Amino acid sequence: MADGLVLSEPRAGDFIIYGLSGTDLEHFGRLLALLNQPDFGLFSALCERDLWVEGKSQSAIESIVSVFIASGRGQELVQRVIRREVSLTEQETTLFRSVSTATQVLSTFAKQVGTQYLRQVIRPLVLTIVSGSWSFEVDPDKLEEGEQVMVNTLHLVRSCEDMLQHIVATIDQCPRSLWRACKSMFEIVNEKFPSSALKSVGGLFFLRFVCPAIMVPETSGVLDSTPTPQQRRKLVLVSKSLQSLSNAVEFGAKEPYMMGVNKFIRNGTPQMQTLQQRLAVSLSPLSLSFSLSSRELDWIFDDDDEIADSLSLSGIGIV
Amino acid sequence: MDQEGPPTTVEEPAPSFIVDADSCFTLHAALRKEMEKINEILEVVQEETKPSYALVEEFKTVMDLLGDAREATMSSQMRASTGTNAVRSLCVSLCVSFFWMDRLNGMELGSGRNPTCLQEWLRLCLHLRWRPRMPKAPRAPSDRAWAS
Repeated sequence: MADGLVLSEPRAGDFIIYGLSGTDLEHFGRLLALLNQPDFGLFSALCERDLWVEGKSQSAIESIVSVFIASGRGQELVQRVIRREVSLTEQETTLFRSVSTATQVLSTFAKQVGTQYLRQVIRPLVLTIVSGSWSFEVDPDKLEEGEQVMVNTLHLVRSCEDMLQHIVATIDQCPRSLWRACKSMFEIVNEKFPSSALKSVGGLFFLRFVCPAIMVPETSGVLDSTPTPQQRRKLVLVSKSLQSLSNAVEFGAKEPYMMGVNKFIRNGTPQMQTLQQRLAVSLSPLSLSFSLSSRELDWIFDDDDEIADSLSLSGIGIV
Repeated sequence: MDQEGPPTTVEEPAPSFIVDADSCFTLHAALRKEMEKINEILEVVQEETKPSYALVEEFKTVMDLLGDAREATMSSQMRASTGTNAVRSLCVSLCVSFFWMDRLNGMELGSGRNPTCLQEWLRLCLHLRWRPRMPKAPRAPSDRAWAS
């Protein structure tokens, strides 16, 4: 939603709920209208005690986020949770590190608006990793017979470099709404913790969005089936390496077996910073694509929020 | 001839926000599960923030209404789902039956009966089988999994 735009108070009748009609529609519509108050009153109250941060309650956060996105208020929600998290944080080293409603909302928002991006950009690389026969294992205690740490480290680093290059090259395909969320993250964090602003952008994009999709690809639609333990291990190692690169933190005594990746982190840091700066200050070109296959109807909104904003102003809303 | 009448006002259409019922059910279930804690939070809000009084009252009213509606809604959803599955099964069975009847009579598919009718059945099958669904976001991994 555009900055400064004031929404009129939503009413129960503003909501069309698939599968509901009559009294049910009216009652649930009242609940959604209540959640959608311009001042975020109910949502703020619900955030007070981080009621739904446990894994089992993730679906509640997903529902809340999808309702706000449908109302064209996804960006407002993101900005609000970022502001809340920043205002509650005293030490910048702990910024967005805890499990809270804010971090859950950011992860869920990124995933909901970025599913197509993950499928188009991340999926081919993940497929390459899981289908390859080479090992990435760098922990001497977990090596199979005949494997060498040095060779595996080279494979791991090569794969991480490919991943970084591909993400940088295709960053224009990043959903505009996620890009705007990154920009909001930079601006809000920059007010209080300037030195952490760029890293926070990387945290949102990599820690909350890309890395979970690499590590658990079957839950993001990146892979159709669950990877084998060996495949999962490779994905975990790539994910850890990218996450450390995003934080610009080299591996140390805590995980000494990962220190072979530090060269990749040192070499990739300038490129990562450029990427984070790009996400923080500029927006990707607006794109909208629509495809229809013979067996299924597949809408691809590369920019859900932007379009939702426009359609909401025209009297239509989308999820 | 110019006529001056009252200025015409154009009412802006109310926005329509489209949400799937599953999201509503999940949200409602999560709210009900934590109702005790939420009430504690809202009581504090009510005491300290006067403008939120209406919000608190409306929330309690809506949750009471939904508490009664929940069972009926779920059972009607189940009936609707069961009904759709039954019709889908019937359509598939009919198509298969038509196919085998024609084959047994040595005819090509659809030649023994009105082809348009058969096409309609197939279309209905396709509609029921491949109806567009609202995309549901996949479950995110717990942040705790990232700690290790």
